[in-house]
Amino acid sequence: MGRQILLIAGILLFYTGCASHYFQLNGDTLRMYLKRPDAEIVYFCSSLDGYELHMARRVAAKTWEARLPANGEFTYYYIVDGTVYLPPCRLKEYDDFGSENCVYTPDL
Amino acid sequence: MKKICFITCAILLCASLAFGDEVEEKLSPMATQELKANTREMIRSGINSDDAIKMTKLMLENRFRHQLILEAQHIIMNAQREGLPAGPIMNKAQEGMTKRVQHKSIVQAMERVRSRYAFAYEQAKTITQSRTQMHQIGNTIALGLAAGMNQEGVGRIMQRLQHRAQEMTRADAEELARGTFMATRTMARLGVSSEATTELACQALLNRYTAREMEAMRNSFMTRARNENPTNLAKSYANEIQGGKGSGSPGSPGMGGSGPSGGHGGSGGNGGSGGGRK
Repeated sequence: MGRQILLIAGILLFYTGCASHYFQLNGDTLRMYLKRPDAEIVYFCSSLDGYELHMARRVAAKTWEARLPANGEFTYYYIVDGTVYLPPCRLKEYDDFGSENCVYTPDL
Repeated sequence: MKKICFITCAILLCASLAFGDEVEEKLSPMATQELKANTREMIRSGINSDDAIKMTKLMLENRFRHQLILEAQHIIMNAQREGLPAGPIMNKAQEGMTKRVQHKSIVQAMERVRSRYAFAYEQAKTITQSRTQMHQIGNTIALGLAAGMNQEGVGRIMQRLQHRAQEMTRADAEELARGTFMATRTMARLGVSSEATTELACQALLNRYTAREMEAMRNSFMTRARNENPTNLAKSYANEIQGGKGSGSPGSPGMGGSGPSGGHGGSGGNGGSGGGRK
């Protein structure tokens, strides 16, 4: 029993605490979180609005948050201190510039 | 009759003056007369005026060479003429600018996107006459190509689909094509090679998978790829289907896929799972 609790706690910690990038769906708002304690300024860019720069909000010492409407799939990346940053993500596509973008889908 | 002609001409004149004013107002004094004329041409061809002006203005602000802006505008007008979506091409321009990519590479990338959609829509046309379906299937194919599918693979899958379509209603064939290309798009996005993705889709089609079974396979694949190398998983799915597992999701009893499907809602770890692209 004790082992099982430890295992579940470990899994939860991995997905919410250790992952450097994760998201939460709250009603019709999608919150994307990025752990970059070293960053000074973080922008979130997505195909939802033609990759316009949206300044992410620092919500904790290490974590940045971007909020967006949860309506379907999109591709995205971050700009961290002026440099393009691709977080670890399950789904990706090529970006035609020799790199990749992350893909978010509601069934992720 | 004369009245109708007069009103139509008046509307057209007002519309063109309105475009003229908008372009003049928002692009001056940065743009040359040629660029302004081209922007008006884009709007006349059916591109949303805000989008056309925004893209041109952004390129000017980012100090693109005059000739490159003209090239970019022509790529978008060509897409519009061919009935392809202009949105993804304009998005690519803006993406390149926020990523600070070299200007020439941005315009080349825009042409690659146009060409990808042209190929995808051509393929979609071979399975449906419906404009709506053609857009849906074409867009799914194009996104699969962006994720790493190659044209040869798409062509092979389409041949199998056409074969299957001969024994189905048009609606069923369209649904199967949508389901198949959604499955291949997901696999490509998970990092499965084009060859393995094509082989799996062709095996499923050979084994008379329905659209629902393709969907079930896609869901099951998404779930299992969390813990297994996606390319190896695709190969094992293809082997199982070839080995006579028949229809339904391989690796699981029935069509529900193995384990919990999706796993969405709440917080989703994005840790990345094995496999991956080269």
